[in-house]
Amino acid sequence: MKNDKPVLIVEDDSVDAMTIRRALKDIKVANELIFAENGEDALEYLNGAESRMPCIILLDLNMPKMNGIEFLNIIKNDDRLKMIPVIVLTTSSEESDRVASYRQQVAGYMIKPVDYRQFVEVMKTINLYWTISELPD
Amino acid sequence: MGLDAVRGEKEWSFEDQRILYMIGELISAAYLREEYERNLSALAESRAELERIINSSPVLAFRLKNEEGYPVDFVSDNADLFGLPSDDNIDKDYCHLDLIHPADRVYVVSMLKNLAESGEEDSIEQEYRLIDRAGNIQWVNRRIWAIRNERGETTHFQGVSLNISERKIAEEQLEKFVRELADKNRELEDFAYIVSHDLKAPLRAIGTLSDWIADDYSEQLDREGREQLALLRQRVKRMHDLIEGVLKYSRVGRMKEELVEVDLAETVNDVIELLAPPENITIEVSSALPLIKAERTRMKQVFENLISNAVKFMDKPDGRIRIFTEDSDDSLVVCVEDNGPGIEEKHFERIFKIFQTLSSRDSFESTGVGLTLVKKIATMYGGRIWLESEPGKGSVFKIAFPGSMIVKHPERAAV
Repeated sequence: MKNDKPVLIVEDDSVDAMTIRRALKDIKVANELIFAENGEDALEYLNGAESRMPCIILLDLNMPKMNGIEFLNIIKNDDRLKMIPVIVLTTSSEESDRVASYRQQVAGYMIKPVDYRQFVEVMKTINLYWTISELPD
Repeated sequence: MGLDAVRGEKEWSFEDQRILYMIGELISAAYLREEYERNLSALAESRAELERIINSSPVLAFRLKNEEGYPVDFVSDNADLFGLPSDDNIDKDYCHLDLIHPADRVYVVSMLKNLAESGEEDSIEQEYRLIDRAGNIQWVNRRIWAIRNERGETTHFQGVSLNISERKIAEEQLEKFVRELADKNRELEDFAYIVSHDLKAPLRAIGTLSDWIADDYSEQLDREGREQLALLRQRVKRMHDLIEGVLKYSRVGRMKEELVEVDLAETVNDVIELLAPPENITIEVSSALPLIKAERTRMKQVFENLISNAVKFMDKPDGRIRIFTEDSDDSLVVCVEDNGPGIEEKHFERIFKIFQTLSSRDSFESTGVGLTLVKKIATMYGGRIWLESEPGKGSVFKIAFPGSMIVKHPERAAV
């Protein structure tokens, strides 16, 4: 990523979280990784006094307690948080989910590949883009 | 006396003349009376016949007074069709308004008032509910006339009624079944969607973990171990494809698109470009494919599946696929023909069933959902799909769509 702020990963499935961690390691992304299991925990981190603001949020949609769309709704209405680019990383290819996500101004929508190698390619692409593209401080 | 007078033999006295006159009157009165009684009896007979007809028909005849509550003046003998007392059993002050279902009273009365006062129409039709003597609801359809006096005031209403309770019950039942069916369908489609979604998550984990084991520990595995791992990963992919197939299939019912004008020739060409068939296969698209009214995505899916099947199963070095239409009186018959391996007749029905494949999955990866999808789409449009094929001679898949879908036939190009 362009700067060295952490990457916040909001994902409830432990194997998916492991996958993201391993893929990012494989492509040598050095940013610190913060993991939250659902929208609520992620919000708690973001509102924490000592928390470092992430440069990017990787967001799963289907999570317990507070799902991705609900989380998006809250942070995109928060002046302090709404500038952080959010990339949805989900299994859902449903039109309704895509529309809802883009309505909440996500920066990207990627479908989690079943195959690990393809997953790495997806992470590579995200990293490449957000290394070239400028991020707000 | 008369003969005497004619012969002029006798002088008539005044008295005689008066008697003669009176006799004449009596005779003509007798004739008149006879005629009167004949007419009366004919009228009575005619009325009796009318009553017989009405009483043996399902139609009830009635007359009401145009007064408060609409007292019943007359009702035919077959009033028991409505669970009501007939003329003979009418109570005093038997008011029509009391019989009408409370919820329908305003409707009935306002129409009657309008009929009586506005003079716009002579008769009106009404549908409303009665509550009969036993307390049951009866649905009535009636035609009712206003009977006016010389001053144009409506004194009575007269009409005929039909008991349509059975029809109303049947209609309600039908509505109920239709609703239930729609609900069941929605439930089923939601179920397919949810299930396939929830199956994908652990599948992804299995795939990923087996990939990592392959990456991290394959040196520690012997050849057999590595082979098993490879098979594991292949099965994961297969399961993923099957789930995708189910999802796609369930989506066909779930998402309704707008009906637009779809240029079939354009759709087919788009699909071919998307599929990017290998060099050894040529695809010919007839220019006679018409413009139809349909959902764009569904039509794309139909050709996507049929043409990709033809490409996938092509076993000849010189592959030829042809898409064309056949003449038919009231349908649009679209055909996708290939010179591939062909299919044995005994398999003709099986291949349209979900997950059915003709070769084992190990020799040829195929979900077996494509034709099922096409069949479902064809059925949704009120059409049907079938095939003609012989092993070694290739196959033709034909879909008949209702002719009403055609918007425009293409101009026949001059030869």
